[in-house]
Amino acid sequence: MLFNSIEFALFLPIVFSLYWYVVNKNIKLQNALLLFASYFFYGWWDWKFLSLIAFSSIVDYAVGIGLSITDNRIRRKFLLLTSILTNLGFLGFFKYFNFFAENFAEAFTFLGQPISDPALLSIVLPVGISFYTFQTLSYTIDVYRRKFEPTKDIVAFFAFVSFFPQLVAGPIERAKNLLPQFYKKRTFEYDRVVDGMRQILWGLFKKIVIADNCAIFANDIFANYNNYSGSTLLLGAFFFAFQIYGDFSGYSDIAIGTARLFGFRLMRNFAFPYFSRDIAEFWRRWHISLSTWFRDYVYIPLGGSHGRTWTITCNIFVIFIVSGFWHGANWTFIAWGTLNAIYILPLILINKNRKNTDTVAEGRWLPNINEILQIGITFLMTSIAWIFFRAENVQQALSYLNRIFSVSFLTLPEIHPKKEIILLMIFVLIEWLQRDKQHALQIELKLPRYLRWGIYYTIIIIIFQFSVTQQEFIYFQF
Amino acid sequence: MKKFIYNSIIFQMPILIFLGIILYILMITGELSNPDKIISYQSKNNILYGLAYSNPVKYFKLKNVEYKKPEIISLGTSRVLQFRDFFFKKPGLFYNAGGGVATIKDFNTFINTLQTENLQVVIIGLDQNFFNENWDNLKSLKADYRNNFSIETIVLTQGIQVLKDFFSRKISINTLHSSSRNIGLSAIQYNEGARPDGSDLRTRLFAKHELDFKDCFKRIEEGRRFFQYGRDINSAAVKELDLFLQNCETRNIHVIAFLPPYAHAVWNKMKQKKDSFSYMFKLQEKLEPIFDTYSFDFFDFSDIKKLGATDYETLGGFHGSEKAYLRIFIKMREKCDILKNYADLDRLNELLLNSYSSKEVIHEIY
Repeated sequence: MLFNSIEFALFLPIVFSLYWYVVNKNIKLQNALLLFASYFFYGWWDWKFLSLIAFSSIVDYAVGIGLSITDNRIRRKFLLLTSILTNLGFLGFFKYFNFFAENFAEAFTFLGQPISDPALLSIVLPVGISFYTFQTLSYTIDVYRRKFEPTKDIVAFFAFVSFFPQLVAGPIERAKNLLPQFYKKRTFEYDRVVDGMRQILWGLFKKIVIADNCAIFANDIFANYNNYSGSTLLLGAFFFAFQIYGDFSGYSDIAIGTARLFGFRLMRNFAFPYFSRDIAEFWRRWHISLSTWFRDYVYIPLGGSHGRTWTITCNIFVIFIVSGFWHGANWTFIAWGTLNAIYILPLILINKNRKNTDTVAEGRWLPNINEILQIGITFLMTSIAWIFFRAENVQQALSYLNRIFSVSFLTLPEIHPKKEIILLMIFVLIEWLQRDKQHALQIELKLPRYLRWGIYYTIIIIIFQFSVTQQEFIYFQF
Repeated sequence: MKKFIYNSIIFQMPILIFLGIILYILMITGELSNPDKIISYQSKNNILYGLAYSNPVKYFKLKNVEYKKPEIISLGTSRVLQFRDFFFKKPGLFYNAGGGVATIKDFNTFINTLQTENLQVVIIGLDQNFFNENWDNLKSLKADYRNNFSIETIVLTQGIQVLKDFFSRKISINTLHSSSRNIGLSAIQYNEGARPDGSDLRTRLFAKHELDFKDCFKRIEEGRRFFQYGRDINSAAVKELDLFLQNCETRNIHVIAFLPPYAHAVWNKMKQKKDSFSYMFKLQEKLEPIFDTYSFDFFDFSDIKKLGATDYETLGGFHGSEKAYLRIFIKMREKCDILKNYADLDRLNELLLNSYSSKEVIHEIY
């Protein structure tokens, strides 16, 4: 079920009403309702893949119980390994099997042992598998590390793994943040629910107005990059940068807002990343739930930023390449990850990666020249990296880049999407003014109602006015 | 909790009222019908399909060809939409896939996507502007022949327009209470849209008897849209056509191509600005030999006068009427041996002689 679909527009009020008006007195019934709703939400796409979520949940629930009753180191390691192999096994099979098969075949061919017809699987990638496998892995790893008490409440655990607001595209929650919320009584709080609805509205705006409109130009320019000038191609990269931001952070806003309607607080996933002053700040503000997952479960266990320069360099490359590979079984994602590692490495090596931890231009309306330059350069670097993310293959990305840095870069772009550029400028301005908030539509309740409602109605009208063909969320494919 | 319910109801009330109006209009007129369901429904019921708020024409035409399995189709832009199934010996032999193509590239995409083995002959309309060096027809994305039907997209993208049309009374109340079985607002309100044979019924244009080419003349003066100026023929477009012909030859499909007619007055106007439109006057010389190499047929009907028709047999300045297309088909039948099996020349001439008007060969109301 897509968040921007009629099905979801009917599904959400029904579940919301049942949750607060029918089963509101009993926390176990509320959890059961959320579990049922989550399986229904996922099954609407393909009910057959529900068995995968259920199987992952059973294994990790059992591993959690097992870890709680044994102190034997070998047994504990074996249990953890069972969880990791099950979850990464599913992920590897569905997402990476064909990639490895093809690349092995190519490697053998290169070495003079041609494999003309490698065995490939004709399978669909289950939606959200990369997200919920990581979420459930965080549970077993934390229980193994004795950082988190395993749960015996099977319904709460199943609901935690499959919680529908963030099931298919995150934020990737940690067990220690989300699971305890299933044990606590949830009460209806007017302000929280209203703010959740605002965040949903802003998420829909980002997705339908910003991302889908930018997609038209990004798709056209990337599909026909051979026919466009360098300046147009750079514009195409900028459009994709806004497309992916609107698409993914819009999804996260809807997810976080929806969870708030049910009394849950999900972790923040985006913190106005395009106002970052360096690439390290960008990665603290972009897809936070994934970055911190890799930091806590991969980077730090490898040694993090401690040790010799060579070790740190290796760790940085490992985490960014793995993170790239998480996005998809394609060399383009690996190249995107590698490029980001190259960007961030100097900052870490000279210990400047935590230079910008505050909000840019805090307490001021406008940034200074230095900040403008830093933001501009960071955005440009990120947009160039997105070219690899968006391209069909590495060759195409390199050709695209090559054409950007040609003489035609000095000409005016061939397309003039005035309406969209004005829209983007307004969007950036709103986000700038609200950059110290959790989301851009976080409005003080003390504002007069006519003003607040006027803002909401205006956004709804803009959504209708600027809607284009409905597009799936990009991150569904990951 | 009470405060939330109260505020929610008050806030959502206007949104729900407007959404209700939009959904009611779109549903009652069939604008929210999935094209997949229309294809078999239209074949079984003799109805018109004319949407006002979405245009799934490419998918609709492709799937109709697959569903109806005709031996002959016409393929092109709206400038082939006037070929009719009654031009042929038997109903079902022909389907008009006009509108299924918007650029020269689309011909190949259409044929490659199409899954049918029945097809023997394709009549293609080669819009002159396809070959204009300045016409952006190779840069654009490949045509999308997927079913992109989505209620959400129609409601979101067209919702405000539906409300505007409703409150400005463009959508009449009679339409909403009509007993017509046609599907789509245009089909119900104006009796306009795709007939079961794929051809297009344009009731309001058919009823227009005066000659009015002001709009075309203006565009010619300004060199806008289909009348964009161009000196040379776009060699990439010619290459693309050649690929299509190769493709058809491989599939044993015979191609009959034509340059579609302009009103004589419009053609003359372009002739007066020959330098600006010089590519157009080189087309026959350039394209005919290519067709000869494949033993396919090629006709240049750019000037409607060549057909023995007057400007009254046009719809606007650059679409021929159904009667003009009957004339075109007679010319094709006279020259192309392959059409002997499909159409009877005497009957075609009789139809021409007894045409209902300069626009229509047979008058139909759906």
